[in-house]
Amino acid sequence: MNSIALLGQPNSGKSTVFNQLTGSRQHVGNWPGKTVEKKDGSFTYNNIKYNLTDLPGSYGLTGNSDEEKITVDYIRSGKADLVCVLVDASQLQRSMYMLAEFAEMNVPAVVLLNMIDVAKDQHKEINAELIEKRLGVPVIPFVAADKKYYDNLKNLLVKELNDPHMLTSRPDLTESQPDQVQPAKGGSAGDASVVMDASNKKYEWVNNILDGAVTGEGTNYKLSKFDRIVTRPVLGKVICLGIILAAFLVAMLICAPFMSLGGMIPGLISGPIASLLNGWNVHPWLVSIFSLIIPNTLYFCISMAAFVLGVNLVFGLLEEVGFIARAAYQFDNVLSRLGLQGKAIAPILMGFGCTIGGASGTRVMDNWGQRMLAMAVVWAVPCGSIWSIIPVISGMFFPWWGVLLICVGILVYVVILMFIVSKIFGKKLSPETGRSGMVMELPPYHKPHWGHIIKEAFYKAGDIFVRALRTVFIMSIIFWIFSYTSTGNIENSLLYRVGTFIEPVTKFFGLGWQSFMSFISSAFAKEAVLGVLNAVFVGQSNVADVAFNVSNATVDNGILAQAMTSTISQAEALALMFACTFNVPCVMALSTTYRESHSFKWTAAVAVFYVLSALLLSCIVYHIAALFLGA
Amino acid sequence: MYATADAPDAVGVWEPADIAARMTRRIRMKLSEMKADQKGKVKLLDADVHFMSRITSIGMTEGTSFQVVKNDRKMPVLIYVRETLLALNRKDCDKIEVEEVGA
Repeated sequence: MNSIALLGQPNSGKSTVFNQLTGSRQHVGNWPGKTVEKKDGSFTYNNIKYNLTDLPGSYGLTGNSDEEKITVDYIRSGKADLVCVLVDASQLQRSMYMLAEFAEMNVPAVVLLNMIDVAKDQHKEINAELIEKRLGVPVIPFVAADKKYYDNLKNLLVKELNDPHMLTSRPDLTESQPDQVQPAKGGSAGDASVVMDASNKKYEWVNNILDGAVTGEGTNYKLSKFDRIVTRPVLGKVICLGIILAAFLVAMLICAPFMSLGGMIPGLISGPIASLLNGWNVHPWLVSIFSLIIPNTLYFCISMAAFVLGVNLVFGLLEEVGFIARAAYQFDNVLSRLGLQGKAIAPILMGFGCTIGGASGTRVMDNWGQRMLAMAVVWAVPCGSIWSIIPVISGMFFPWWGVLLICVGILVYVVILMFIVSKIFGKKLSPETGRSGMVMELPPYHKPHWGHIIKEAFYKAGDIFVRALRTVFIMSIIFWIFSYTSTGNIENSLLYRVGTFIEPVTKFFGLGWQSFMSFISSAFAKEAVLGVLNAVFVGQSNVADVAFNVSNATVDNGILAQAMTSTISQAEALALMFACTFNVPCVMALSTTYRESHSFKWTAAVAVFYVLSALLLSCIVYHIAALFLGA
Repeated sequence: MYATADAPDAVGVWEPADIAARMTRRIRMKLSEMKADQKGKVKLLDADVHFMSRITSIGMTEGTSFQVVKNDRKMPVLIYVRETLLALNRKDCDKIEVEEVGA
């Protein structure tokens, strides 16, 4: 009796309404068996709980997309006692097409005339009462980002649940297909013209409903000054790239203080906790867990949350303002070759700074499949940490021009890997039918609603912090089990035993046991690689201490260089660098991807792919390099 | 729809219908061929069902009036239709036959 569904076109403000109503009482997952996001939540009013479902955004209901099929099925199933339809008051005619499609369905409804503030800015006046009279259901002027409207909304929704109204008017489609809300099948021109006829009738209906109810529409459209510049073929791209990079820098600035604070945790509390627990004669394994893993997990999770906060604040702003659509316009041609929409340019660029940022930056993408594919592609982008290690290591083995060549080689392979990833995962995540060329709205520039942006960013950051604790902790335990030594001597660790045992195999891939251990560590955290190299080659600390950020040993590059060059060949060093660069990014990126996608299956599939392809790459690089440089 | 007799009859005289047809025939072209700031009306959508659903739900149907906002080589075409600014990829614009409206 108490289920409400939110229906509306993209950019109509549905998610704003959903978030404002449900706050933290929401759950995001996927519709069963589909790559479409499902959002459920609830709110209480006068001590009664009401369920809210955010239906997938689509422009209509009769197309072939998963979104549309899911929406139609859900409404038809009767699970929603009331459908709250959002309509964009500043683009009323087009926005009401959804209502025209919905009109077939005989379900109680309420219409929210959202963005009434934008309409007012455009000097449009809308007669809501007239429209209400013609439709037969409540029609409420609304501003989704403004808290003040919500008491009224809840009141109305509750009232309508007890005394529902259905649309009294619907498009006259009797000459077309009788049951119009049926996804059109087949590809013949005949079917297409049926769709065309039906659409025309729906727009006719919309025009009749709106006749005389809207005044003040302009006729000539002029691009705003900013749009004129940002859509220029070359300059526009430069500006978009500039803005995205600047946005990323601002995001980093926002999260830097949190990350520094978090970074102090392992160093500060690890020692005291260890002494305390040892004093109580606690089992050394438990001591390790509490003094090593938990502080580091906290540090990692705080970093992730800080990243998500920064990225969501900045890119939430850019998206709300409408900039992301302009960037998509600029880069759609290029990115469609990867099966990605133009909006993916933002997360891909951010991946150069940090993969965590790249993963959370995929929030700007339209649908889940695109987001997952974008994250898979972003993992291929070498992040800032990589650029801090590779020149150092390659500098130990190669002259300066060799280092340069290696960096170029890495960048070339990034592009190749992106194509491979998109070929492998694109089929399922971004199927050809959905991949037709760009048909995209460039929404009018909106003044940002700060309260909403900030609230949502903090909510997402808190959410990922809590959810990541478990994931990072589990992965840390796994890594710890392998790297733990009771004696502080690396040769007592499981990783060493396994590493030396399978060394014949890893040698085939070009990696001796030390290099292989570093390769494995690079899946945990890239920053740890130098420290781990230090641990395995020079032996001044143990792998676990380094990986969990509590090691006090500083890496002396000179000593490390001596130790490494005398133990492994140039070919192996090359193989190691490529393997580490193109391995799974790091446990934080992995967790962020998992949390953003809420799909264990896909995250695991992508992770396995990256580990295996890194090994394969290592093998190829090693054997080719060995030919020229000697093993 | 229009009189098909283009050529005058054997004696070289134009029938009124021919003259009327010549005068009222509008310029038809592909959407991708229109210039910025030109206004037009959609005449024909050469589309399969998928494309038809997408494009009609975002506001473009046969008979819709629109204004071309920007049409740069190799970039999607920007069109203003039903109060919405749309970016439409060039390949699909080739499938849309339009008629220029207004001088």
